[in-house]
Amino acid sequence: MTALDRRGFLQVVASATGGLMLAAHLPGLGRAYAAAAAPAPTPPTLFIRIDPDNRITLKINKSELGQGVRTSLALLIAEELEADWPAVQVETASLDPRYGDQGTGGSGSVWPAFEPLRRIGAAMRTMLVAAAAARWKLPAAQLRCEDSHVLGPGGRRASYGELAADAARQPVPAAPPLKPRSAWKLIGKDHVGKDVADIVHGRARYGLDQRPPGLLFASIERPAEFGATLDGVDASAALAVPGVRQVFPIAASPPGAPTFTGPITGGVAVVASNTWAALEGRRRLRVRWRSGPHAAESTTAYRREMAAALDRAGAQPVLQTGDPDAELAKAARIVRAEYELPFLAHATMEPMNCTAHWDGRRMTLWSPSQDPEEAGKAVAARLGLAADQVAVHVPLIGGGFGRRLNTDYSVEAALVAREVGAPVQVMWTREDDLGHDFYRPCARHRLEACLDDAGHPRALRHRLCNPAIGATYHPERTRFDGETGCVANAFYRVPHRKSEYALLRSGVPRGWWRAVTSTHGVFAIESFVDELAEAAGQDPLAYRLALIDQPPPLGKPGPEDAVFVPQRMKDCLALAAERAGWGRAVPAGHGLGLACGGFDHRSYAAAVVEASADAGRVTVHRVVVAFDCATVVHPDGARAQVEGAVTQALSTALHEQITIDGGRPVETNFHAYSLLRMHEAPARIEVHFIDRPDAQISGLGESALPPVAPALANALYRATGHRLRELPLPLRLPA
Amino acid sequence: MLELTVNDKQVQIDAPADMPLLWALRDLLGLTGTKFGCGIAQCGACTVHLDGQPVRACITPVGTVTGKRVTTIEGLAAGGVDHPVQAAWTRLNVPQCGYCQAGQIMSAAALLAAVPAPSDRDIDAAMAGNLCRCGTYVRIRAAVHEAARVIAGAPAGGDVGGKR
Repeated sequence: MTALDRRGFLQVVASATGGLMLAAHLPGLGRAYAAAAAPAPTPPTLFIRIDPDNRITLKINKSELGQGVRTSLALLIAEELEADWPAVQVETASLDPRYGDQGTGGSGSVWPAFEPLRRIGAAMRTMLVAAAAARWKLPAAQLRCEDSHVLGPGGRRASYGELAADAARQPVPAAPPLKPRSAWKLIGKDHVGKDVADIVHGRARYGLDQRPPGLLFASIERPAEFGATLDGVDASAALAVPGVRQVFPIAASPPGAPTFTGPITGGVAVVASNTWAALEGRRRLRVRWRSGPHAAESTTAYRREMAAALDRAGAQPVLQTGDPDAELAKAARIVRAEYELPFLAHATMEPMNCTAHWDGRRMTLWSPSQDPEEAGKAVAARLGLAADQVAVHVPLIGGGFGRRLNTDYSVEAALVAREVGAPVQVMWTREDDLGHDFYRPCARHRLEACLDDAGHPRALRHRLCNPAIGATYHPERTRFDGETGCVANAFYRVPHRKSEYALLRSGVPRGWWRAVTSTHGVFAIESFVDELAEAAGQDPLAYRLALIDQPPPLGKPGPEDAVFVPQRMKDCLALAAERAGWGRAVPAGHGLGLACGGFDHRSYAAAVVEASADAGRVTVHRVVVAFDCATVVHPDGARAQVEGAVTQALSTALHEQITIDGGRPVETNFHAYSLLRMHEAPARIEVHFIDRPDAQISGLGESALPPVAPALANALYRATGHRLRELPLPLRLPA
Repeated sequence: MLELTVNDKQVQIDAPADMPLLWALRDLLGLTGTKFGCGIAQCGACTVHLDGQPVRACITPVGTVTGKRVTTIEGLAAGGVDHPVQAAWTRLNVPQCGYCQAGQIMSAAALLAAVPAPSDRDIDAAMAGNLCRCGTYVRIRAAVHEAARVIAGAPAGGDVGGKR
């Protein structure tokens, strides 16, 4: 065991294949959830194995949900290891405390790994070179590495695989030097993602593709109404369906019990020899549900209540500087606007599912989870098992966006498996998935401001009412500290400012949804800043640039240790505007709109949208994003992340809403919960990264999303004269 | 017993005739490349070819496909050679999570069989039934054009990621 640096160590461990295996341990620093505003995420722990046949296998501790983490983390090691990139294989680690924080969230997988993984690669390379130097009786300085081989003078050449056993006996270097950026061969270059070949040939194995021998299939009938409970079931018709094996109830989590990762709804499980039989059996159940405390809740009532709460005294203070009430009271003119956003579903293309097997002593899960550690803990707690009785394997995942931080689907699969005694796959239908999500909360924001002689905001009052995410998990609390949609983009200079929060009580489960609270907070503030610019008679770009010159008055949202650099946000705005041709003449009926944000995930982002409403029909023509996460490890993967964030944001802006009526969601499948489709996607999405070698690398999975919807609304205002303050935007605008 | 032709192989399955083809493929034949997304033909994740035509396997009763050729994503690379759509998808790094991509690829391959040089409008129309939650639409459009160029005889050009 040798110190690698202050934060961890490398250890040579036995490799069953006779090769070199390094375990890199990096102690936990905390969890990575944006909403929890936790300290810095843990750098990953991982195993690297070099087999005698020169295969290199990396085992990483983050879930692959499409963000490309298996590719980008592997690039970091391979760069310093001088590995033959196409021959590098990546595996996702099963739950094991030795892997440290296995949670995937908060845009926190790549940046904490950026230095440690390169050091690990460099240490391993140093050991391989030392082994070759000993074998050839040459000084290490005369040797170099290339494509998983050590090369020496006189045409000497040995593969890493040949050297691995000797290298394992070399001392682990304490602080191996890293290459200068100018010498990078892999980082900063485009590569085909590590999973692409399997995906395009149908070989990739997601959660629903797990097929342990003897597998049975299950579907669970759930109460449509949040909080309803099982009153009784007649399963005779279900049991008569050929292939149906068992029908039994699953008890819901006790109401009001605090949980970090979400309660389960309970219901009636139908277990069968194939999925279709399980679904047919489920359709024939006759279930009586007992209505619960949320039966009368509706979106209509929520909207009325949120609007009323914005008028009532008694909201929680979140932030105050100066005396905005006094300033607004004496102002000659107040600009005032309210913005409203709906509940959103995650709608991952692979619906929730989990495969589980109880062998009488041990529970094995194949869970497409963003957090196998929490899944394992929740299963152990609910079933009364010891931690070491629960194994969690993590397959490829068909989309996460925060939904799979929750453990509900893992827990209920374990409950089903315990009754069955054979491997069983619990598949959620799309109706289950949309009807029992942990939704992005709805929200209503009110902003009021007065301007000084220069047209700049002198005072700003921002009040938010919504059902906080935190109250879903901790009923005694209202919101997480990081849940501060009312201080989103608080970096604009305003001498007198106040943000307040009012909780909307709701039985609708809420959770983390890509970019979390800034999805609604940034829409409100970036729309309002546009309205202020107009009130001041100023250009929205110049107006923003003039107001961004200091850190926000509170460190939140944004990690505690992140320092806001005003110039970086201004550079994003200026770059996006320049590339989009801000200020140019646009075709009749078109408009350009811009917005910025992203600092809640340490990064900086600005978006310019060109949109039109020809004959009232909204079309998004082009989106230009400038993004600053300091360093981009895999540019093509990074562009894909930003393109995806833009597309998802447009989907929410134009289509998505979960409406509640009778305490249940109205939208039950994709015919009603519309996602953006191909013909609505913009012709062009352009992504421009700003490289800052001296700044700390930050995350990019989420920060591009929040500015897009307000940029679109701002563009449509310029195109049509209609100021759109509610999402989803109307698809047809009055001419 | 039902007799099917899947990816040029004759197979027999014991399934009710009203079982959707999707579950016969996934649960009875072990062909898990075809995905479940919605069950009501709204998302296209389950798209397969039936005698070369794209269909949604989630609403296609398996009893109606006897005597027809079923092609799934596993059978698209005929003779082990990638279909130009698969090659373009790879070179342009189209997939993110990848779950919808089997359906996207099958829809795109069927489009190109019918319309070898599709316009953006053709692509929009043919692909509008395939949802992607990760937001790969812009790359899919570019990859369909790339595959069309290759089918027309142009060399697959450029670096990974290509020009978008």
